[in-house]
Amino acid sequence: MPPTAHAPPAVRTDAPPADPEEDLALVERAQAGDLAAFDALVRRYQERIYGLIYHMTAHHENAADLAQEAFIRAYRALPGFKRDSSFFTWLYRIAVNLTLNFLKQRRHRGQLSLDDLDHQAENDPDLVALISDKTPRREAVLRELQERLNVALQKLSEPHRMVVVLHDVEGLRHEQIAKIMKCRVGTVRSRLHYARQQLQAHLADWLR
Amino acid sequence: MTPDLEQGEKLRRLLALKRHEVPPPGFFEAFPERVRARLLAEAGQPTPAWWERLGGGILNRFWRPVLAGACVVLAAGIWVWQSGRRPHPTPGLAHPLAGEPAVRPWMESSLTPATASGPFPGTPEAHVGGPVPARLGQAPPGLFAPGAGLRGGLVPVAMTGAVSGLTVTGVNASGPRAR
Repeated sequence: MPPTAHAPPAVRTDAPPADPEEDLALVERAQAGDLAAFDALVRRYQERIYGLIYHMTAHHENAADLAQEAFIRAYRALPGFKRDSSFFTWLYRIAVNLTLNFLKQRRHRGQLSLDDLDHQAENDPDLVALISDKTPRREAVLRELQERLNVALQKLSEPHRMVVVLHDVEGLRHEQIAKIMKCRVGTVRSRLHYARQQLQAHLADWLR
Repeated sequence: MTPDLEQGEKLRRLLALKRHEVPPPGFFEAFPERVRARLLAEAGQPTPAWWERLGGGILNRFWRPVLAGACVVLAAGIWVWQSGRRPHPTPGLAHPLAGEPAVRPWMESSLTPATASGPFPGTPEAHVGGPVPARLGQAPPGLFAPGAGLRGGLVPVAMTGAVSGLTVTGVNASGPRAR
């Protein structure tokens, strides 16, 4: 089946797949004071939480600090964790709120501190299709493309950027995003549609 | 494929680039340790007592000017209250002898011009730096004892007359009743 514009992308992550039952068992142990259990939860979700915050801020140091803060807050709030949502949703909500608050208070906008691209980027079929006919210097082009993409993302409002990051980069479903952002699924869809339009306009010369 | 869908597809491919951004090597290996170290550091610190939290709350940036203002108002209030309690040398303020002349005929002979227009006789101020009037000890013809100020009591006055035909039996809310 050919990919469509609305199909959620596959998420490339080295973290083990989230198992809600396993999460709850770890949560119960962590609630009882088992720091090793919480450590396991950190290892399980650190890449996703860091990735979410990094894609929102486009700043490695800020993302590292905020990701750490998100886990610390989660640990403090663990006694109040109820099972009306999964640990994954609950943790994401903490990270999302923390990031949105940080972005509201951030004074110096536009300063990027981008992570490096991994070695697989040059061979990613999606990216190869975009740049192969432009230049043989793939690495330099990818670096330029990365910067342009991050600048374009930073031009979006925080809620629109958050929806794009959660859906198109992190690979979450509309329903999951609605739960995390505490809004309706229709709101998620409309924000995603508008954000994509904005991104297409900002990156028009790359999408021709 | 329509141009819109084609552009949407290209954008999706472009966004795939974001998933290839990775933090410096070793970051995720060290990250759990950093979180654990911070949790242990916080656990090692004693929980602040309620008065420390209260003190911290009062002395934060928002409450500091409010606290300073309250202190100023309190100090001003105490000063006004104290000055109201102290016997005032000027007759303009409420004093038992405020309506009377500062110097009475029975004092005139013993007061120097400097003290004649000064404080009331019998007050400590009246004795500082000046001669003590020889007749101050005698009671003036008035209701209050001289120099007693607001702390003074009634001067016992002997009843010289008699009320005939009236017998006071009690006092109620409407005042004394005569039969």
